[in-house]
Amino acid sequence: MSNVHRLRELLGIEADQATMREQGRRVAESEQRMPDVAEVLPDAIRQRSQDDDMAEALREPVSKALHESVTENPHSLVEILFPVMGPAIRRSIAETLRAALEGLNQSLADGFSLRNLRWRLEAWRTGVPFREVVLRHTLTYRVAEALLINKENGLLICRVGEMTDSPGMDRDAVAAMLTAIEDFVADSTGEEEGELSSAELGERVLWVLTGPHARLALVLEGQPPLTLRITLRDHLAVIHQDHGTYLYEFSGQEEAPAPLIAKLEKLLKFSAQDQQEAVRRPPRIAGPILLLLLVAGLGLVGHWLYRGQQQKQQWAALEAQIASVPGIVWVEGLIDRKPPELRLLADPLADSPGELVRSAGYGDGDLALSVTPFVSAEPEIELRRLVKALAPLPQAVTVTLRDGSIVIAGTADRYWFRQLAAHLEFARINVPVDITGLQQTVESPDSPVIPDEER
Amino acid sequence: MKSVKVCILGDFAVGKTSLVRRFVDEAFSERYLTTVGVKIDTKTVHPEGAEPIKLVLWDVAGADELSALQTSYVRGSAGFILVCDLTRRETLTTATKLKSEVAAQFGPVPWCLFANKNDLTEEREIDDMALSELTEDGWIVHTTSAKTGFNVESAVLALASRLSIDAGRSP
Repeated sequence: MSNVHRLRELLGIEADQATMREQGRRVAESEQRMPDVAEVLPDAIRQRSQDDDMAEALREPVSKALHESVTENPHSLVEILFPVMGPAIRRSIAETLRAALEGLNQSLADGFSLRNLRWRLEAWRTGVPFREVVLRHTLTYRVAEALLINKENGLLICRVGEMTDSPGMDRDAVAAMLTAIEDFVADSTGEEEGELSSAELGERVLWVLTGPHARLALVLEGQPPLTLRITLRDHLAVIHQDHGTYLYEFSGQEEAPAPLIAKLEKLLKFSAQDQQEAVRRPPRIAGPILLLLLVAGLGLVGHWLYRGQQQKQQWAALEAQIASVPGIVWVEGLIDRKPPELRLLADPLADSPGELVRSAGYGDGDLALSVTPFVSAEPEIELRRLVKALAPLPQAVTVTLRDGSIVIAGTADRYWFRQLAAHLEFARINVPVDITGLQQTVESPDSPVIPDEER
Repeated sequence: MKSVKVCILGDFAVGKTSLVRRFVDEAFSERYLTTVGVKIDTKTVHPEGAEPIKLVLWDVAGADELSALQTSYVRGSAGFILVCDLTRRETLTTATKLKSEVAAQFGPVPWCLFANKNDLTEEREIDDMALSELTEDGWIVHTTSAKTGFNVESAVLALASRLSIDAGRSP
């Protein structure tokens, strides 16, 4: 090394020149510049990210690059945007739908179309709120995912359906978290069986139904009607009924029994159409019931009419019978009273009014009978009265009624003759008495003479 | 794969959540821990000579005694992990208390003690002697460090092995 070189080295000139040569080479060769630029580019962009100039500078090339990329391979952009656009579209639809539904009830309430009237009738018949009936007919929904969770330990018993929302999310953890939240809700509300019944998961709805040993968590899409909960509860009850022991003893087994999985899979088939079927089903069940009720009602009305007619006939028959019986007078009959009331006048010698009523079909308590005694002047009663007064009649004497007159015929002794004469003289008999056929017996001279006073 | 529920219990700030974070597959948002009082994570482990088993870990918020809510969280656990902080003696007392409470409530359940923060050697208040005494009393003790990861995996695996054996016995 020459002294000059050594001197230059000592002064640092030699090194500077080497550096300068290297720098010059790197500036001159683009390939050499690239690593340098790449090293500082991210920081440079980051540093200028708030700067409008940077955005403006990048706008055109980025736009152009995107355009060319889409032109060349549209699928790549679709794939990139799908995870974002899918939920965004669904959310937008769900929100629009919900917003529209807010005013649905009012607008439908104001409407008087035939369809609305039919739905109103259905709401009235089934006892379901009108709005819900409308929702059933107008909306669609589906059960996207169903999880059956052990109530005691929060372990997932089985799961069916698509992995909604976060496909990577561990369903065991979800099941446990739901159980923890249920416990938290129960503790917060102070109710032992506190229940998280539903929650919104973005555009989806989570329903939780709790059974004795297991919880059923369902992720639903759309707007399920509240009555679906009843159907689902029934389903959960069936699951408990058929697999109660398994659910109770579940401690994290690997595979749930196939019938249990099948039952859970049935839930996935629930959709608006099924529900509409379910809604239509009540009329099918209600139809025969209504028919039966109608028939029963008609039967009751018929029975009531028949009974009324029968009572009237029975009453008329009684009236006719009483009219035909001597010594009894129909004073007043009140058939509309409960029980019917009947007031009679009856001679003590007439037939028994109670017997007459019973023979007409009235039992005890069927009729309120009131009888006032009186003296009848009817020939039959006059006859009875006379016979009673003259009793005992001699064997050879007959007393009959003929053409409105009492006919006494036969033979009697003198004593009876006197008795008859006395009676006819003092008693008031309102019918003529014919004694032309009555003869006195011939008394023998040996007959004892009985003083008139003793006789 | 069989799943089992495992609860993690211990005093405040003993490092339960940090321990879980050390070995879980996937972590839920930790907001749940402050809101609901429990954080759920899962971990699939492969114990030697046994079927793989999935641990559903319930990281129960720190407390020196079990509230009604925390008791409900512990219900149905196949096993539990007690955690104490080697730099705070009182956390071992809490762990002992919690163990008694769980035993009283739920009967014999497999468990073990993680004596955490083993890395803070200078600040230790619970020495090896105390831990040995516990071991002599039948405790299964693992010294761990959530910070360095020391012994965490192996300690969990040890519990999982016991649970796997128990699970094999159950239906």
